[in-house]
Amino acid sequence: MTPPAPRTVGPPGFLETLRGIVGAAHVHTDPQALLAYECDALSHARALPGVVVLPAEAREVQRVVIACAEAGVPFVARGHGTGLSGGAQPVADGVVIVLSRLTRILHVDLPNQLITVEPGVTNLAITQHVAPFGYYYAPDPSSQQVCSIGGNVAENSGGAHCLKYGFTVHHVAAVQAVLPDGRLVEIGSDLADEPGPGLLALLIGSEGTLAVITRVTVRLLRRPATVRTLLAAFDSVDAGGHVVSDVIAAGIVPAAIEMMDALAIEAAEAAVHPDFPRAAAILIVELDGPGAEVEAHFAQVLDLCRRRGSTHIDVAADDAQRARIWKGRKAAFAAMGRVSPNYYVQDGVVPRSRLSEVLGRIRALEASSGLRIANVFHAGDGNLHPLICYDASVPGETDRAAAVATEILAYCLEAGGSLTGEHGVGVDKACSMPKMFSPDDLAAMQRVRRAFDPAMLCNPGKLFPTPRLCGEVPGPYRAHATEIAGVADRW
Amino acid sequence: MVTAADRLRDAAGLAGCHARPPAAPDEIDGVMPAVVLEPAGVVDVAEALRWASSTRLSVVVRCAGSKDGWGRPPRDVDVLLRTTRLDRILAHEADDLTATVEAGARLHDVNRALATRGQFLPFDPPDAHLATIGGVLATNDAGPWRHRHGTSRDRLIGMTVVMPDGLVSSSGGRVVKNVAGYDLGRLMVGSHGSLAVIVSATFKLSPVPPDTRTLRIRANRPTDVSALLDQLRQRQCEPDAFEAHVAHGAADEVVVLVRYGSVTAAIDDACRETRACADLIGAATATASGDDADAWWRAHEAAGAHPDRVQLRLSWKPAAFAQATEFLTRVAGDIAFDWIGRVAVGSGVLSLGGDDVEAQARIIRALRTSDVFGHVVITRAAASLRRLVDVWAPTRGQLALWPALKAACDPHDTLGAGRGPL
Repeated sequence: MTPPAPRTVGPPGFLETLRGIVGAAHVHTDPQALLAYECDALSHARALPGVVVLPAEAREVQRVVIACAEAGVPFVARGHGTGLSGGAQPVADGVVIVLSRLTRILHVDLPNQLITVEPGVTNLAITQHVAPFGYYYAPDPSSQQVCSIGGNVAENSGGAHCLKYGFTVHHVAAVQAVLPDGRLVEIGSDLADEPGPGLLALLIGSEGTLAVITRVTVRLLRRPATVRTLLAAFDSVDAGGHVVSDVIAAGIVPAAIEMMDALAIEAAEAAVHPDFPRAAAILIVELDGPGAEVEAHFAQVLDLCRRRGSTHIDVAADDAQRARIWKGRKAAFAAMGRVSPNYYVQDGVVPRSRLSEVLGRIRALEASSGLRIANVFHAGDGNLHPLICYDASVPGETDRAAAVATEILAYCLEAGGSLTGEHGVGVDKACSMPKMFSPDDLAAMQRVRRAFDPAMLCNPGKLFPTPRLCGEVPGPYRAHATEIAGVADRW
Repeated sequence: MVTAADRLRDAAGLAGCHARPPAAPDEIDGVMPAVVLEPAGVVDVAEALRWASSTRLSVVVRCAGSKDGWGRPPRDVDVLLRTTRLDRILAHEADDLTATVEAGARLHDVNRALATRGQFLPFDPPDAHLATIGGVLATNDAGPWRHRHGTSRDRLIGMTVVMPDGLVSSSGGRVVKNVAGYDLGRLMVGSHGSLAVIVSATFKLSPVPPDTRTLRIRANRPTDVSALLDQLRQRQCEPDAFEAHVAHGAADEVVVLVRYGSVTAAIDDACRETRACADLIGAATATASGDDADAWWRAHEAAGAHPDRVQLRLSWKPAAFAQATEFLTRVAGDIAFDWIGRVAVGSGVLSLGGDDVEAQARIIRALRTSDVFGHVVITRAAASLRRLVDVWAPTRGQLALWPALKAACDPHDTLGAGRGPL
């Protein structure tokens, strides 16, 4: 037996160049070490990279990108690997640039409500850093304990409270980024309203296909004076859906409106015992702002819930009760494993005024498909997260679940919605892009992409449909290591 | 030699584009276009641009022309594409708090229609009575509402544009939460019609507050303004607008307007808190609502919009408001100025008097190289001044990306006639 030939990546000398930039200890080519990077939290979409490099600072990232550009080797930037759409899935035999060593908080400017950090800093670490002074960073994806701010920028991450406060794109003032040709640039600035086209807004949510983010400056918000949270139970999902559009139509913009249906409640109860009422649906509504405004709106929301026949209303009396409600909400996904061996998760969006209608169609689909579907989602934004339960060990059930998932996506688009509210397109939904966008729409996006990356080396194969990718059938959901460890969840 | 008459004859073949010869109001910064097109729908816009780009004509997009002073002096303009007839509200989903509007619709008309359901688009750029949706987007212009609601880029959720070769492209969508595909809509905001022609846009709306009230506070010195803002933050007050007006020769008095919009009880609380804060800095305070408050706001806007002065849009470090005032007063010397803007955001407008373009150029350069100001864009000035100092002054990051972006979107330089920014 001859030993396996050593893996070759790029032209001769390429690996040596990388070692020269970041140090040999931070260049991995051993297949065992590479395995840890073969996927992000979309764990069924895997590819083994040729080499993983872990630079320590922006200049090293720049030199690595220059080396890749000169060698013509594709590269993928990766933060902490919590993405849900495969945006950080490696290119087979390409380079993965891991930014997890760039974890410094570089500058805190409270008078101007700004903080500048490296991309590997976690979302929650930013808030923790400024919380003693009464400030916070608003976007709160559920993985905020572990997800990186660089990844948030790449995916334009949201969270439960983006109903009122917006997404990552509304809170980033500036980034430093390495362009695919290796130029290190500043986009945006500490000052508001940079003139010219919205390059920063374009970069945010471009899923790592236009640049590698090496520094992020975000805006900080002052904590609101008052927060109030209620939980309302309904004997139909429909009624809960109507309350959502009633609240919006009444001119109230809550900080969050979340919904769970009976199956999701059952799972949450089994996992963390939040003492939720047994109901067909519950809504969690949180309002924040000046005291008198919150009180007035809170009374209106209570009234709207009762008018739609709410069977039970809990008002959180203190922070502990609010935390219990949120714990139950956030546990729902991870808890699904207790009621089903496998499940698909989706991220489609519908107009809020069409929630009841689309939820009704999903319920009918549940009946006709014979597969249980749990709903636990950001109702205020119309961002559904249906969980399609199935058992992969039952022949044919995996395919049926995939068909149900596709059908639900079609309902969302028919209602005028979107493929993805916050998880991103990545490899997961690239093949569905033509269902939402025309060939001309996609062609315009490709023009912009080529302006940044004419050689198509920066995270290729993501976001846009490709024949190779779209010939393959997506696989079932598998829990990511961070979920199993209980430090992240998936909505 | 192709004459304007030839152009007009060619353009007359474009059905639905309403080709006509230019009239006096069609002049673009001193340059008369050969032909004016007024398409009524996206298909017509696409046809017009396909024709223009394939014939290598230069096109300038305009609607009401309320921001026509923006940009470098133009080269020859073959086609003025007016979006006047693209003026429909395509959808108002009140239960969803969204609306889709064509580019030529006037902001004022749109907001009147949305108000019937208690909603509005929170944009109040200067000359809001003239401004159109497309113009607000193309310039990313804003006014006092900027404090709470951000700019049009922040409220945008979808856009349809026509690229110079006639490619019709939609991005984003009609739902408030959506991360599918590149955000080309937000990219186009601020591009001044130099990358594509905006045809329609979808926005997240705001509820009209049930009650509003304005406080006028006469601060005795610029540092007091920052102290006031800081106090309001400490007390977790959430104003809709926080504006200051600094006038030449009166920099020791800064007039601050603070507006609250909410339920009446919340406004009562906020006004009480604000008066208490104003008392701490010894500032005289008055309160108004309705027509009286409107008059204050009109006067405030007018202070930054002298028709015969140089006008700049600029940003500054919010916490450095006092240093910025001191710097501006020093570099302006004896040239009259009025500076109004959003104190907490650090963005606003500066109008500069005098007729010495050398002196005005000096001030602009000083502002651009200062530590506290930045993003200084000339939005109205004599052509002589605009030749002396660049209108846009792009950053290094922008210089790195603009040429490739322009080449990708508009390879034959069809759009903008060199007015910029790209």
